[in-house]
Amino acid sequence: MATGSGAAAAAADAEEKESGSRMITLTSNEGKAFVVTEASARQSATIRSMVDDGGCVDKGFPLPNVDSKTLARVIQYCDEHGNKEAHTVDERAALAKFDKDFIAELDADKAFLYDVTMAANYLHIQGLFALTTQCIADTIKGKTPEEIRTAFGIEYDLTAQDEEEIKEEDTHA
Amino acid sequence: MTRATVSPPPGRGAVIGGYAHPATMRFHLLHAAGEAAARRPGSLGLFVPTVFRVQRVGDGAWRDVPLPLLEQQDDHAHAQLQMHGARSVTLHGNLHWLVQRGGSAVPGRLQVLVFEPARERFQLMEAPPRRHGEEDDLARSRIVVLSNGKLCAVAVSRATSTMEMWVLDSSSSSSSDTPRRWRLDETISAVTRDGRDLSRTFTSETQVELAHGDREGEEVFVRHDDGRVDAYSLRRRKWTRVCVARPKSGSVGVALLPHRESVADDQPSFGEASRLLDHTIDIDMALARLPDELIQDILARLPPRTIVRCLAVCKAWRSAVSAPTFHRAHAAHRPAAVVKVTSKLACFGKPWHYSKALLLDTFRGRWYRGNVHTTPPSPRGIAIPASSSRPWRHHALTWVVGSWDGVVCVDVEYTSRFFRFGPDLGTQPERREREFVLWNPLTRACATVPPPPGDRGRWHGVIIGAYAHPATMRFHLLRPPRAARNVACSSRRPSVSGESETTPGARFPSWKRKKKTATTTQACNCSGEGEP
Repeated sequence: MATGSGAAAAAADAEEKESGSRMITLTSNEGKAFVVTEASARQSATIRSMVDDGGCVDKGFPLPNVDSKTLARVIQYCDEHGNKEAHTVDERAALAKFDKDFIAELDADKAFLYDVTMAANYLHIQGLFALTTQCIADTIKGKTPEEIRTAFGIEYDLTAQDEEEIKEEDTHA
Repeated sequence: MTRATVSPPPGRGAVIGGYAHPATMRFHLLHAAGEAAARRPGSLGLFVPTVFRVQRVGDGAWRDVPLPLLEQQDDHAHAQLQMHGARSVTLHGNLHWLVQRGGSAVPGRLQVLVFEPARERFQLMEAPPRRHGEEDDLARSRIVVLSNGKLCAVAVSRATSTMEMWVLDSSSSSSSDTPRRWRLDETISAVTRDGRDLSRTFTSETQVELAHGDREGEEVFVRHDDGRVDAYSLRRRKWTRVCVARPKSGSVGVALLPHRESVADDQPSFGEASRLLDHTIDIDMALARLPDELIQDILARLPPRTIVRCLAVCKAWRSAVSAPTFHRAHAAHRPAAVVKVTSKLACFGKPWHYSKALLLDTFRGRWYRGNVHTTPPSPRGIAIPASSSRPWRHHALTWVVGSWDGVVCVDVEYTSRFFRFGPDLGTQPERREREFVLWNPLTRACATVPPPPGDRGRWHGVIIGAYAHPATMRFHLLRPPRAARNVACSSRRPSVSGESETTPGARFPSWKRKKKTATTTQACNCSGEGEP
């Protein structure tokens, strides 16, 4: 199963085509194992590079920074994007709809949304990371600094010097 | 972070308190099992405890604690206690509840139930005296602890629409023999500023808590069943409405909870029961804290107008937006806008002086559209003032060299050819100087860089590229040489807290020769793509 690192890059394309057959085990920080298809796991750049390096495919990948609840949700995203084709307009529309529903569900639980965002950042799942950060950014949009502080539970900790600078910035704006 | 789960003892009941044992610091829970009090007007939510139990968390077993001794001379109807769901109040390490003597038919007098964790025993203490003509009403009485460490009883009277604050004076001798006295400290009108009478809606479920803040002093918070919270400032003697509840689906069991963080040194311990739960979640989801490492990635997705606002949110956000890495992250998420850079002569200041001004105009949205004449230097434009040390300098020509990593680079040439008057007209040789002006329109930071020596003559070097170094984020300019070797200038990346456009005179180290042509060429390619 392990390939030489030199040949790995060349073989990556070929592997991707027949990757549906290979299964990869991801382990959360509580020790719970999740078995996913390789195509699904390849959504994560972190895992993709580890697979391509030919390392611990059989042993599975321990993910010490991700808990089970978050990992399950992340895998839900990866399965959808990794295992489904996105060539036709219909397929792309279906994926877009999945993304929309996925993020709407996450948006209701902000703490969990942050967890998923951190996991996507750690696993380098670009699509998921873009989706969640954009969702958080949308909550900031159009708010005054005061409203932002309230919405995110931020304490006001700016010094008098900062305030002076801000005032100056405001007069120019 | 430690957490534990504890299973309740048999029978109906409620956890009425918890504490870390003063000696062992093991966390204990107090549980009272009993039955609901007999139905009486206003007695909803009251219960009669029959068994008190305590558990050392981690041991898994509940131990019975003897009931407080009730005086036997009372008749049977008074040999009962009634409690309500209000939380225990901790003072001097002891837990306090307000209870009412008496059973189903005859309501008795109020007393304060005290639990001493060190000795694990209950005691009864006198409550504030009864007012004339009024019955003691447990449902409308609470106890809180004032910030000066005194027990305070709050009694709401429906008849007079008032709230009475009784304070227990601790005797100076502090010997247990001298009886401590309750004193009526203040009578507060229970009618708030918007005309609502709090005494009307006060039930046994209403929560009363006391908090102490720097600005408002001590405040009594009253939370009603409908979610409305009112606060009475004891310092300003005024009611303020803290929040009007908007019942949301999914938000159940919202409660006021005075909370103090426990310090690490004597943190209560859960013993063997630690770490049984998988996941802790924030109670108020809207206030979940944004992880610091995500701030930059999230803010990078905002439109520029909002980013300027983010500068005024807090320190962490301010530094995130000002960080040099931010600009590249931001630029990567924004569609490349076509900007129009106008350079024009503008006059401003007193005494007036003329200055070359650059205006940045985008065709997308209204970003940086403005008038430099009225408020120079405006954030949408940058004024390049003529140096006072070299009064002959006048702006002659500007070339917009390019925009790299969010920084606009302009090549400015100064000359003495224009505005030259006086007897030396035509006698002095023409002087020329050049400068590169670097400007970040988003952060309004600006810097000027002189060209390398030997570049002042007839031959004008051209800046072919610029980039922020991927590791150091120092801004670099690239310039092809006449000879084979490339020359680059290293300058600090302008940042928001650094140089502002009013002092664009920040000079940077002299031009350095790059040793390896290959590396410079490579860097140049990278900067061309904008994403090294």
